[in-house]
Amino acid sequence: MIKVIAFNEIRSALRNKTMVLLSIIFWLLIVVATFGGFKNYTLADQNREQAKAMFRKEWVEQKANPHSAAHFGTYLFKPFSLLSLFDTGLNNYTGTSYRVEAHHQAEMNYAAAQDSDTEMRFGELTIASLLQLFLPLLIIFLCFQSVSKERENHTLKLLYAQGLKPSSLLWGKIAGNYLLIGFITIPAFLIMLLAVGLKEPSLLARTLAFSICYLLYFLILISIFVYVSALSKSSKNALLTSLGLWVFFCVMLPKIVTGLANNWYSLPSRGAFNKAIETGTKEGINGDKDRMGRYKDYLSQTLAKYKVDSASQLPINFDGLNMQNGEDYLTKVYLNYAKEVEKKIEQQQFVQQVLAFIDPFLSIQQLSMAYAGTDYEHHINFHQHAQQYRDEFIRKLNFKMAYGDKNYLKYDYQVGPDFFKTMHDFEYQQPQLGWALQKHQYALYALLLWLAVTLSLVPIISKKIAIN
Amino acid sequence: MKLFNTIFHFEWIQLKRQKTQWISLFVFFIIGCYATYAGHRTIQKQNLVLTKLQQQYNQDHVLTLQKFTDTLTAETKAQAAQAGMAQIINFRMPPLALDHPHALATLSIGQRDVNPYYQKVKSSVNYLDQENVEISNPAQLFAGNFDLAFVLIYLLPLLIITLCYPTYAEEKEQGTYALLSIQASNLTTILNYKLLFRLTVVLGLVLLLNLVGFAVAGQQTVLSLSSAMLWLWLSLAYIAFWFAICYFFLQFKRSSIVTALQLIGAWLFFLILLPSLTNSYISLKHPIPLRASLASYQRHVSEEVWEMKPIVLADSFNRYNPQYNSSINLAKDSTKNGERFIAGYYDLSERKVARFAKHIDQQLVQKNQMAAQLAVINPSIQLQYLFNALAHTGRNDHQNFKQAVSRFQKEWKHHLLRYQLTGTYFTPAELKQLPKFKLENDTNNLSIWMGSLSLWIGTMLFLMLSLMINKKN
Repeated sequence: MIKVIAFNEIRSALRNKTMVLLSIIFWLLIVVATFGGFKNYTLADQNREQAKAMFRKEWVEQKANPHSAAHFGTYLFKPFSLLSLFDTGLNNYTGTSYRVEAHHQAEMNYAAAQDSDTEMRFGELTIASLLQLFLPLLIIFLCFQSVSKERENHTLKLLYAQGLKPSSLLWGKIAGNYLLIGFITIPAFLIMLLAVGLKEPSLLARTLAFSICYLLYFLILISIFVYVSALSKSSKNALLTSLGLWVFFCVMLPKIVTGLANNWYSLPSRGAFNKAIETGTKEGINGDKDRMGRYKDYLSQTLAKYKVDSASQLPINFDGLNMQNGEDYLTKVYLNYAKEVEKKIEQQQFVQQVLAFIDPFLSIQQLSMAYAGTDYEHHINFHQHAQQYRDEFIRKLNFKMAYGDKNYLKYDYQVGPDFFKTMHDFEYQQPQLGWALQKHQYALYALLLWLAVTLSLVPIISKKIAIN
Repeated sequence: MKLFNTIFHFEWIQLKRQKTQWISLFVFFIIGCYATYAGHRTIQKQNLVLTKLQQQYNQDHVLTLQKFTDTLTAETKAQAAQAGMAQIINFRMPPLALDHPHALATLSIGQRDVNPYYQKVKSSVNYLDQENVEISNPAQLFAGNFDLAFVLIYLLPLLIITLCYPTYAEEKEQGTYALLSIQASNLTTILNYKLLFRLTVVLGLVLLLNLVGFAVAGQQTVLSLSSAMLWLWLSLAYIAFWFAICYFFLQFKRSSIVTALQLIGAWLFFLILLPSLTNSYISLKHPIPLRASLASYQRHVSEEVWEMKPIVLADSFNRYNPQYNSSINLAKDSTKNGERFIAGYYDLSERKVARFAKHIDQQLVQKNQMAAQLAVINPSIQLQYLFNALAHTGRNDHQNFKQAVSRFQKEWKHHLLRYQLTGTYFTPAELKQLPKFKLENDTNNLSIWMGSLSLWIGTMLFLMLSLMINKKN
């Protein structure tokens, strides 16, 4: 009986011209989003690769004092995987480049949003936005009269008279509509898998997880909207309720949630942050001595180590060592305050993950970005790697100055390509899928819980279906 | 007039009886109030940041003055002797450039959460400096602000749709259409009056909500009457546009479900589909430059200029800054690391990099010009642009702030150079008369009025199409 109901549901949907038209529009939009996304991704990737090669060439070909080279520094660029074309996530709001420079701990720079106006806030056409926002509307259109129309046409009585159980009716309606959505979306997921498999096979697991989560999300939505149809007095009410739910969960709640999280865990201002780092390095943190005190201590330790009386007697350039000592302290201070900021952002993120238990849209949004590597966790992971690379980079230059030149406070010491080539280029590998899932485990649990709850509601809802 | 009164009376009774209508109106009002509160919190926080920065600057000012008189130890004595040195003043108390929020920023936060709204001005410029970009959670920026502008742009059309979609069909579905056809001379007039009643309800609600918004917005900064009136005018234009759309779809006289679906389709088109399509087109047409070439150029210029002969650099400086020619000292100016060498280094490298950066700025100008032009075809985006323009929270206002900062930076640099190049120091009294940043932020009311024309044109277009269909029927 479930099969018959499901088959009828599919047949009546295929007869509906509007439904067919909407499916065609959806596919056209998928094509446009893929084309646009791919072009943007290719161009951005080319630009990054060219810039990366240019900075590497400039770096290895220079002849300079190691400290001058540390000021000259370099730039690191955040790589994006092919999956970022499916879901651009936070890319427009996070920077793409990182400056490596002496005496300065940089942040990620140049978010596209800063170069754009308000239109960017309306969103971009991506496969994720189509699957998260547009497809639910298609589902609403499919489901809003799935049960209510049977009641309005008085066919519900006939079906019951033929021995159909109310729960079978719901299962049949859910199955039919899910198969329809499957027919529309699965080819898109298969093409994605094929494209990723051919270009970046290492991302196949992420793409598969991406597709599975969306298919689960659609099942949740179909169940919810079929229930709405079953419980509504009329198709009109079912449509309005479904649309109301869509607006509330997909448009309003994400903004409200992030706003609340921002209020609960307020971030410091950039001015206060910079001032804290400036004061921290100058006066010391956690009971440390001030800059001069730390300098004196370090000098006396170094003199004692080499058993000499003054810096000029040292067999090394103390200036290089002292600069590294300053860098180490700057890193300590920076991490001290940056960790506080990161902790607050993590708390904000946690609020979003927890609230995914009341809004499946938040759950799929986070999981989608996580699989595409365009979420906050991937961003901060890149930043941490870049910051560690920067520290090692500057350390190597300072030590080269300290141990490569004995002349204290002389800057005419120079090194050339032979040395600079030994400094390895920055290589960043995106974390594995397991890492991304672990970071968004609550969003995943929320999605699975939503699935379990919605499907287990069939017997309860089926008892509440009114015949008239 | 009698018919008008009858319909309004009937609609009022209908409205009183329908709990769901009241609930939707009430929920909308509450959401609007919450959005106003959320906007108020955001702007209040920004105001607090600006106040703290000002307090910090005042403290730095006091500490700098103390340095003049602190001669207790040999070290502080040496510092006291140097306390008025221009470079030290530049380091210890760089002046602040603050972009205070306009009162209406509470109602339309716009790009104020993305763009920096303050800057510590130094005598030199780093074209790649991003140190004043506010710390924020990118997920928050991505989700966007829940302000009154959002409620009006996104949710108000939905309220209008829920009120209007059954205007025609309910008569047909309740079986009263036939009765009306017999009794009333003109059915269109009846439908128009019914819509007019709903328009009145929406106007009243939006007016109330906006008045609440103005009361909250006016708490932090004075809100001018002209700005408030313009805000109301824009709200009215948008309401008219969405009523025109409803009117258009009602002409097809389809069932309430089909009409609702068509109207939701229109909402989806204007609020989600068209913006995302235009955004994708803009990003394809004008991709945002990476600035790698600028970074590379800046580093090379920095090295190249630093390696120049001091006298050549001094000559270049004197040519572009003849006002300092009285302080030329050939002996001093031919030494590396002398005052004129340093001044010349920054002067020349900044000029070179500024020329290069202009090219990138031009690309961004083109991108944003295209975005503004495309906004005209979409009343929803256009309204956001206009709200932002009124609240001084758009990109143009940020550019205006940046230009003002740039002008002030030059003023500050030359103020310091007057001391630096002559080897004179600031006195404590002179530190009280340092240049202050000023931001002229006049609202271009005319351009906002003109901008609202596109909304009215959209309204007229839909009304004309409606009349055409009506005649056809």
